[in-house]
Amino acid sequence: MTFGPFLFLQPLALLGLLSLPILWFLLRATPPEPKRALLPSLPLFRDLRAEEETPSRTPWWLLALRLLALALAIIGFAKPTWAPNAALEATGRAVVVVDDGWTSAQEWREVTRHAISAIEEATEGNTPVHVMFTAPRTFPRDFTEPLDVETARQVIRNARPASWLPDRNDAIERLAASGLSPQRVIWISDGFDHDTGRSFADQLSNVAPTEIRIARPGGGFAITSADSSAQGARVSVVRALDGVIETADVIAETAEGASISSTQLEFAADQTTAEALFEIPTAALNRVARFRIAGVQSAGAVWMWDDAARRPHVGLADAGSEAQPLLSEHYYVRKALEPYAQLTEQPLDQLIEADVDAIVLGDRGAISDDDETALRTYIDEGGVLIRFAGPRLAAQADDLIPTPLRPTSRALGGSLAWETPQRLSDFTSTSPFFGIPLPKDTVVRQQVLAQPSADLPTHTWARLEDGTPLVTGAAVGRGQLVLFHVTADPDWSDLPYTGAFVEMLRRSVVSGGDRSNVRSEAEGTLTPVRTLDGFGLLATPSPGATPIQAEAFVTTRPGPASPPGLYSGPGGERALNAGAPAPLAFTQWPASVSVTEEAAVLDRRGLGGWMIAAAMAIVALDLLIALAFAGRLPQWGRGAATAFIAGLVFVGTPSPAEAQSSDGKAMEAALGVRFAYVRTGDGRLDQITEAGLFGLSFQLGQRTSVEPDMPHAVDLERDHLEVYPLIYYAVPRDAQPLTPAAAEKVNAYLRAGGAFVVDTRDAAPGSDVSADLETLLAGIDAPPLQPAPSDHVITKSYYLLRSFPGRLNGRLWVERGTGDRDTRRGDGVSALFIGGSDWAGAWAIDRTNGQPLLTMQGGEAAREMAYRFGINLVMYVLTGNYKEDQVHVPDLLERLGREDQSSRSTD
Amino acid sequence: MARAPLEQLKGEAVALANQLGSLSTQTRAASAGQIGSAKRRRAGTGEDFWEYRRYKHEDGAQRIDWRRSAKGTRLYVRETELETARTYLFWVDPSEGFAFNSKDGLPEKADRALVLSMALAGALSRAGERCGVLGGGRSAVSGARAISRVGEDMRELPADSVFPRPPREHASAIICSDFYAPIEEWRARLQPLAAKCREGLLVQVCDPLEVAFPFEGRTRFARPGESQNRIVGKAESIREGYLKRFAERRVAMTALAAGLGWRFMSHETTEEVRIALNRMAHAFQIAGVAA
Repeated sequence: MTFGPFLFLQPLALLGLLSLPILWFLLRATPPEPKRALLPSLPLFRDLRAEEETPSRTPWWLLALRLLALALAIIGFAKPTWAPNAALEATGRAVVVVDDGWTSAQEWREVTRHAISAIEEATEGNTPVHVMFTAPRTFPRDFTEPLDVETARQVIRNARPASWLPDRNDAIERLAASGLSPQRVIWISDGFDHDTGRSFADQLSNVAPTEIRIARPGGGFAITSADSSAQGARVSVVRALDGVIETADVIAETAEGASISSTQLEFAADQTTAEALFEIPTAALNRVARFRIAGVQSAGAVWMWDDAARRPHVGLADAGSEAQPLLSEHYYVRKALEPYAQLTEQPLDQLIEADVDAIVLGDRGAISDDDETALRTYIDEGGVLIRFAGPRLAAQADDLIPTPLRPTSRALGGSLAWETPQRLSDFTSTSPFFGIPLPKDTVVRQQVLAQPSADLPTHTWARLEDGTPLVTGAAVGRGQLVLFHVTADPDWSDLPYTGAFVEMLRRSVVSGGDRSNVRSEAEGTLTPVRTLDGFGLLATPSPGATPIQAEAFVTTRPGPASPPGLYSGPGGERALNAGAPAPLAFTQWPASVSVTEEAAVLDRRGLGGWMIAAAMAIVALDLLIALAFAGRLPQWGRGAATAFIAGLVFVGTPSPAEAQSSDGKAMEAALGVRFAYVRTGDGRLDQITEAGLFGLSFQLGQRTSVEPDMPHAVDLERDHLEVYPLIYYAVPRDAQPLTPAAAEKVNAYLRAGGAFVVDTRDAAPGSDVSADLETLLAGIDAPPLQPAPSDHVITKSYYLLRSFPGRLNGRLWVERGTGDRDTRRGDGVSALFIGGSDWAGAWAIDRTNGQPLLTMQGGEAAREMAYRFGINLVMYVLTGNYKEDQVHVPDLLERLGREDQSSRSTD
Repeated sequence: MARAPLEQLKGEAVALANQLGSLSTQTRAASAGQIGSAKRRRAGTGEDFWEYRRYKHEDGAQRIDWRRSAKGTRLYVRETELETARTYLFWVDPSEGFAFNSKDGLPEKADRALVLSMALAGALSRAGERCGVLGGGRSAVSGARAISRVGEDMRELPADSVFPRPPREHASAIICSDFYAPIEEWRARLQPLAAKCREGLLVQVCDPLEVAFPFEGRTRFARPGESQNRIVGKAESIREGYLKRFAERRVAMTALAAGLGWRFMSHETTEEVRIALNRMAHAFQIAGVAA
């Protein structure tokens, strides 16, 4: 039964909705469970009418909630299904045709959902359905067997995409051969042509009304080629449809699956292909086994790199004798190319036969006509011929050169030449060599000269400073012809010595076309070693995979017998890749079929579970409400709610609470000795300062009779300062000057005898405190300061100290104790202590485990000195000039003794 | 609700009775029908000397106390103190609604009523009155047995028993209940009883819960032992009405008692037992005097 886009699988359950009105009455009469109370005097008021009886009836919203829950549950049990296309109903048997090539793998979930949706539609009313896959298999499923819905679903769920392309011609033949006459065909298409899109659709619609649902992969879905390039590798990626700018990531992987490099490519809006350029060092490039489009799981998104593709095959023609290797013409070329190319040294004719990527030809005079023809063909097919000049070429040039040469060489420098040896000029941006670091000290002493012509600059890859070409190249057919106008050995130039030579050779070698498809193995068979499954995972060869004849390998297309993968043969490993040639998207469907593009197709989504879940949630809510009505909600629940609301209120209006806490804090502080630090707003700094004062308090408690309480954080503007004997101000890096109000309060505090310690924490040799201290402390009534003299009381108030170190070691500035007794405040005791030694940092300990919080130079000995300073400071602050007076004790005692004696004598 | 053990209640009652001392009640002469040992503090048939009074003509000659008369010129008659025995019949409502306490610390109403009854019985029996249970199987006794007799017989009353029939002899009745049943029902119960019992005391024992009615919100009220219940949407809304009813019931019961020539008093289980007992004793003494 369908209802709009909904399909009810159990429509009878909807009859339950009829019970809703009855339930409405029942629910109205059944109020939430009340509190129970035993009351013997019940007869007294049994007939008493309560004035307010409303709550005894269920509130309407609760009623609505319950009815909603019930309705949801009933509808849920009717198994509603979101099936917007369920209306396209047709009777009779249907065939569901599913494209299951690798092109469907990326969207396989979508394909399965489409297919299951189609099966559910087709099996409406227990009609059997046929399920057919288009990708050829070694043992194809017998699709003529009618399936019920459950089995069909199972078939779809168990299906896996093949790692090759679908063969629709085969499929239509199988369909025709089966003799089935379905009433309806639903084709879950991958949306690609495969040269058969139109004809297949036509033929299907000839069989029965056809409906096509397309699950086409989006974005870059396949790698069509991967070549070595000058910088590393060049990977071509193709997407199905153009139209928008898209990006894709391509990953280079090793054989073990480790990612070596990844690069992003971008599809231009009107392009369906894009290239990913990898810059991979040669050594790493050799380890690259495959490329993969990130996030795309299909066989086409993996491009395996075989030996041949990975390392260009370079032939060195007519290498000459091995007797004097260092004098060999190709010595430098060999050295340059060895790390990354497969080198073969053979006579020229054999090299052409061997089908290498590039042939390096030394200084050769005449090339035989046969060879020349063969070479031309070779270059036409994408080969690269790299030639080097030399006396012979200069003397007797042939036609296999990029640009006509003058029949002589030009010597630069030397005793008979006017010109000095030339250096290389910068590579132009059009040159394939662009970007190679230029050797500055390379000189060219002799070269062959090109005939000046109009197209000479376009052929010039490298030139000397005077503009004459050093390397020329010309595209011939799909290949390249490259001429170095110097010798391959250092006779004519220093070029072979340089690193640039290596790079220039490398780039020349890979400048040709892709020759992988013309390359052929001579003989033998290639046995599958590892094959890709449809999702692009490498696995042991599938049972259907059979060895391939070597000569047929190039023309082999992936299929059930030859799945894409790595094949091993006498000539090394070869890769059969799924992605090339990439299929083309097909959009021109015949009018005879109805096509649903992916955007329009939504699968059937069972909604019953959600509805029942919602109903259950409402029931749970109802339970809570009923408990609340009955007053049985646990007390903590109400408490929590109250606390939550109170918390909100508190958060909303923090200031009054804080203001109140200030008085409380002052009262707390007044009850004991307690240090304070200025709250700076820098959480970490405040934490450390607090830990520092705590550490100092702890040490004081350990060593002295001063046992301070936990330090307080104070706000200079707001809090009562006078209750603290010492306020520590660790200045943050980005400190703002004290506000006038704060400065005023600090002044009052200092006048009242407090101690204010300012720690700028940036002491350095030569600068004790930061330069902007003046601005920071602007407004503070600071008397003249001086570095604490060596005989200052603070050096002997508890420990005997010579310096006042913290984590840093700077001087301590105290008030200058001069002036007469009347004007100096605080009885000559300094109230202001300024330094930059980060004392608090040194004192700081972790409150939980007592371990120092910060490391410091000098270790525990230095920390101990810092503590000693802190204790001296506190003693000085607390005892004032008592200790100063103590130094007079011997004198006083002596005087007392004298008086005592004198008084005794008078007696 | 576990009932307190009878022994415990009895101990309590004995202690209370001891505090109360010997209770001498005045009864109306007309009701002093039975020979007994309870002294009535007036002249009458008895064993102990009461007074010498002047001889009146209507006195028989044999009543003259010659020994006293010989001391003077006048004739004296020796009067003995009237000694009669009243029967006091106790009844404590055995219904489940009466066996109720709202909190664990509070005694059940029935237990409190039983303690009061036993203590009063103890005090009365010490004075020579005979005490028993209305509707109980055994007859009323005096002396030390009376407390146990009252307690045990009371406990044996089945919870669903109907209100007992009036006794055959005249007696005084002490009816302890909460009197929450309809007033007409009580009237119907008490009127036959009052025909036999010229004296009576209705003791209403209430739980503080019933007095205060502290309920709020939606509440389902049930009576102990009854399946019927009443749901009130907002209990606080009927509090005033309830309290009014409660007070009206007390007034009605007082009126009913007065109509029968009886007395009515109420007691909350939170109150001191002694006070209630004193009031009960006082009620009988007053009753005697008033007679």
